[in-house]
Amino acid sequence: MGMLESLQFGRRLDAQVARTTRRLAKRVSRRGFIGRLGTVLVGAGALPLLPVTREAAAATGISEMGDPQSCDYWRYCALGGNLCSCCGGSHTQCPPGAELSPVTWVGTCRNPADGKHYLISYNDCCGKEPCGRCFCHRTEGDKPIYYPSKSNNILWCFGTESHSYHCTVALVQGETSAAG
Amino acid sequence: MKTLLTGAGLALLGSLWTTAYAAGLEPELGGVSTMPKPGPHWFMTIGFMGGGNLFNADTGEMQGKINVSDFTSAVAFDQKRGMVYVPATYYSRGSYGERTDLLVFNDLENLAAVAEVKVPNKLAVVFHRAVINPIGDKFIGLYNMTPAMSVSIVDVEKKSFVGEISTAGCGFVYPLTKRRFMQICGDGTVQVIALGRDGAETDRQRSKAFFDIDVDPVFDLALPKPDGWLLVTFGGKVFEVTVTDEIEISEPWSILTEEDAEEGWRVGGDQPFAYNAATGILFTVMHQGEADTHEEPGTEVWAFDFENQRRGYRLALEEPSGVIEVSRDADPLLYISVGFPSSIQVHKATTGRRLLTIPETGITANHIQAL
Repeated sequence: MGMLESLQFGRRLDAQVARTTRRLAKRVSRRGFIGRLGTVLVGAGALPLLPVTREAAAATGISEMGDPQSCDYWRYCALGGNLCSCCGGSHTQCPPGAELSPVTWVGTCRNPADGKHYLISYNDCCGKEPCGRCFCHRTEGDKPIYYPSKSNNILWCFGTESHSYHCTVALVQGETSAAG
Repeated sequence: MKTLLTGAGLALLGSLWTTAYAAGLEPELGGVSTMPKPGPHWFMTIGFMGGGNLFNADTGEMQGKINVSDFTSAVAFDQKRGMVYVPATYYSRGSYGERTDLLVFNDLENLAAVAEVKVPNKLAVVFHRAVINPIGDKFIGLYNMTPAMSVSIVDVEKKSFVGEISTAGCGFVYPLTKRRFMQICGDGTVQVIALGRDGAETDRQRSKAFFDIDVDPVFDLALPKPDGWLLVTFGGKVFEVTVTDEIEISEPWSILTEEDAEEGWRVGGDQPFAYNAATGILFTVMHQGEADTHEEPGTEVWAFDFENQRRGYRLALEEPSGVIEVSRDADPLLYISVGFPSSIQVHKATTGRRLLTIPETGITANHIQAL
């Protein structure tokens, strides 16, 4: 199944207004699974790097601010997993040797820099052991597993050579309305 | 050289044996235990860096460990045949290489693999209890996701793969009587599929839509009752799904009073509720939070008299938990997973009183599966 087909699942994009901060949930499905695959540092959660505000080099040309190594980064509003930006990649690029999954789940996140809502695809990077760093779990607009396109409790390594999970990137797919 | 070493080793052993025997001591011989037949208060924990640990909650003792793969999130026990079936995904080089998906048959007495059935390389990689369940008395259903959803059927008597059933838009395997199983669907319905004697699909029914995925979806965890399943929504509404010849959906009732709702109480966690049908007690893990906190661990466990739809007691947790389970018998025990590494607190389910705490049940007991 390709990206567009996956996105069709999400045609009824929900009306959640993304919040930029949320207390991280503990011991949740995807987190547990990822951790079970080799991560010891559960509880390290979002590594509290020095608070950095930087302009991300967004290929989309949108204006954005925030630290892509922080769970609070606006694109991560529905992300559950390890941040590739802490693992040798970036918020848009897999780390060396990992394979970008073409099939993803999606979220609708509000960019605080321009006040607009964007459709974000969360692509897992696969084929290596779990990175284990910068674990985030945000559930804004998250749905149960039987509604896969909006569920972050699935290892989304589909269409890749291996289902082993390494980390996740967050790609802007386009602007969308908050009302979906 | 090998002969010399062997000879020297035997000589040393012989010397020690002679000394011990002379002192009147029988030398001990090592061995391997077998596992007793599981009882109604046994459970399995499965989580990261260690799954398949079996415990007897009456004694708190670990009974053995089932081998699982990195991607296994549940197993199916078959006490009649003395087996436990493990869905497993392996890569030939650990995290890469050729993928092989299997249903592994383990002998319950020795907890050893005795057979395996190759199934399509589609097993769902989701951490969920209902990825495997028995259907009728000789079939096992395995939930697939590629992400297209389907169910693989295995005949455990013939130890063979029967076939794959496409279940577009609907997930999981929740068993029913008469070789049927239920699934939850993204369009707000449930689906019931029946199998024939050969394991092939013979009938399929869909309920009316009774929830809205965008407004108040049901959790993907369903709770067993004798003639169907209970479903709970993110907002705390409880539906009874009763399956006879048709699918009946009850009018929902809410676990939240107006006062509870005003105080912001919500259900949340990774395994956030449990139901004991023999006593009619429903348990929910509760926290105070906003919308979208359905995976937030709870600070309390609430116990409800299901028939009267009233709360019987509230149990304050010393530390947050998002994972509970209850035994299936008429004198039920409530299990609550807490901490890291996880302990399981065992409570008398009818009163909430804690009976014992079992330490180190797994690095994290993400799920508890009652036998």
